[in-house]
Amino acid sequence: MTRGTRLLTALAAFPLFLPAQNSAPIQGTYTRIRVHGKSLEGNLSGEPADRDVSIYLPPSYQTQGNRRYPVVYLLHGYTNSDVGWFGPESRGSFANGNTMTAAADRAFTSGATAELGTNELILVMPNAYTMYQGSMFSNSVTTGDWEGFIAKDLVAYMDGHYRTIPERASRGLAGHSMGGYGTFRIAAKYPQVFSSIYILSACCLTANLNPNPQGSAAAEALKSPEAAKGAPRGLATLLAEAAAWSPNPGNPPFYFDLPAKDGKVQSAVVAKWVANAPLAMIDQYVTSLKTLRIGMDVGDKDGLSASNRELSRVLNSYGIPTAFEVYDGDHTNHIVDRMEKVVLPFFAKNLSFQAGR
Amino acid sequence: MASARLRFTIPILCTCSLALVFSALLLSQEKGDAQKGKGKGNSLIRPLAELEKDLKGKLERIKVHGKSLEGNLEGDSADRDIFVYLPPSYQREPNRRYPVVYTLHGYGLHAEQWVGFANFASLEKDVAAGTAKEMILVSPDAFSVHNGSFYSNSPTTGDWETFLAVELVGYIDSHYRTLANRASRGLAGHSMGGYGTFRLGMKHPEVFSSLFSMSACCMLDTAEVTPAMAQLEAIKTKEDAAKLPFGQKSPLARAAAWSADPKNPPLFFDLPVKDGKPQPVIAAKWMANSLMVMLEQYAPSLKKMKAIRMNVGLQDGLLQTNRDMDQALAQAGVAHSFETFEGDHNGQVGLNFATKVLPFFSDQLAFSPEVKK
Repeated sequence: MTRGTRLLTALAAFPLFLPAQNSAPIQGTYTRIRVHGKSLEGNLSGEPADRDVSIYLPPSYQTQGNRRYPVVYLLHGYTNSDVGWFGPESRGSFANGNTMTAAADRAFTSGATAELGTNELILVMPNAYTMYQGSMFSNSVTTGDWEGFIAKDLVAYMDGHYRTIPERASRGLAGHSMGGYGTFRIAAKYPQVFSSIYILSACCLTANLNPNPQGSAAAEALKSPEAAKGAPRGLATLLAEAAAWSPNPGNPPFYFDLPAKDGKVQSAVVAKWVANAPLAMIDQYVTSLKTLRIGMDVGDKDGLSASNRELSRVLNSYGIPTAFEVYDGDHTNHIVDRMEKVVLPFFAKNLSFQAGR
Repeated sequence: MASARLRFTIPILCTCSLALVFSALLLSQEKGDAQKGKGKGNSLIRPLAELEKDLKGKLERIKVHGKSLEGNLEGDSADRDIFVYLPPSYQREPNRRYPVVYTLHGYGLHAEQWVGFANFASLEKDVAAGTAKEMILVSPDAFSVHNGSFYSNSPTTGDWETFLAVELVGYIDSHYRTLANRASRGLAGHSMGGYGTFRLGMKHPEVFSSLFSMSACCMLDTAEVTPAMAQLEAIKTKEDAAKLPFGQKSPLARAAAWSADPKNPPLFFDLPVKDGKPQPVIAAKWMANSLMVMLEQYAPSLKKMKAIRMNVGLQDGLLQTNRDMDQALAQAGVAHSFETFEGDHNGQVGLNFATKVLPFFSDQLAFSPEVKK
């Protein structure tokens, strides 16, 4: 990018705000790009391996052409997408213009982190909305290797195309609900890539050893993946989890197995789902988790508060220091506030703003 | 995703844990014979002294410190016995470098017994016969408080994955003339060691390029609460555990490896049964460590292997679970070969090692340095 085009970009980004000389801009730049995921190639669901990715560059990125920044990778929840956080289709606590972009602008210019001075972060969120409304950020031949896509492909792309500090100490990972679940499992498997993580209202923590034998009936009745379009949440969730956790290349057209069949629980499938539950896998990853700085929170009115408390308890039992907070709220109503006032400051405090640390 | 998940306590029935106990009993028998008879009449485990007489190469016994094993809660030593076999040409040709095959012993054995059980001396006969090539063989000792580490990553037993794949490999590469790259590194093991072979291959495909699993255990462990398992609730201390008959100890070892609990001294693990009732949370942890279910998450790692081979005896209690794993690998698109042979869990280990395992690695590993472009 030449100096001229950079200036144009900056002007385009702030059409209503012409910064005076030496005055820092107060808005960051939002862009949506497409990143190819080699790890997603050949997935049996036929999900595109080229994914939309929302990128937020902090205010000073346009004016300080040599400065490098830590990066926080963000993972959205089930049925959501990157634009559900960043707009224009922002929803839940991000609705009505209160997007992640607006929250980050506040955090980096007037919020809790401003007084720290060098606190600006690059934020990145890939679109993990799939044909079953969410990838579960797992590693499956049917859905694709989402762990590898985030920890390898996307990180390499960002480090290759933006002024990042391309080091573990300067990389964070955070997510909400399905994204909180993804944050746990990706960090547990790739502790060499990320140094700090924040888990918001994580889903899917507890293993279910005995699913309802009739629970798969609606899914079994579907003739094709196309018929799953617009499925109600419960059914779609079952499909998304089956695609992520019990793939079966020999079982077209869905290429997965369901936890029950003809009213009988399929114990081998149940075991695969169990193995993907953080509270069942955590004991294998204590060495990884001990190398991370971990924050997590959940609303006291969230149905997931008990399982998140349990995750915090197990982390503590292993002597893994965890900043854990139960706040007044439900599953979704305070996420944008938490991001602005707690999560971004957490990363500003824990990530390294200098290379070579 | 806010759907609450319900917990029930009905265990999924499976015979694999019984099979494991059965296998352990067999091993117990052989081990007892080997210890009592000091080689007298036991054909399965060759005593070290006898084996060494056959060797033209050298068998070194060293100790390697495992930083990853430090501070394990059950108090296993972080300094591990390691046997290293160096082929005859190693002394004569001071510039030559060799591939390394790491071999993992089964439950209830020490590395010393494994060297005689697999019979490392076979390599020289194979080389003479032209069926194998000279290589370095390494055998780490994974005997633990409860007779076997299961090569897992547990705060209670230590991080065996990192110890073996990172620290031990690093030590061997820096102290011996190895071809220090994955193309020249193989991993093999029997029973619990076959489990370790798959597990380490799944987690460290950047370290090993070829795997050979002999009669692997623990394909799908559902932690079924059998009467024998229920009786283990009475075991409160290491001393209690030491008094148990050998064949009843393996659930303790699995609990130490797979359901650690730092808040539950002095054994620091939870059993899948408490007050006579199944504990689904603990059973879930055991399932999560089963190869059949780990496979889904680690298929990309196994697909990176140059070659994977597995076999099992037709009279082995683990036959069916190994057949299941063969099918699961095929289903996941992981290239591998699977074969069965006439024999039980332990009887053919030496023959298998000589006629299948060593020739396999001789074919698959790189015996010269990779050309740097």
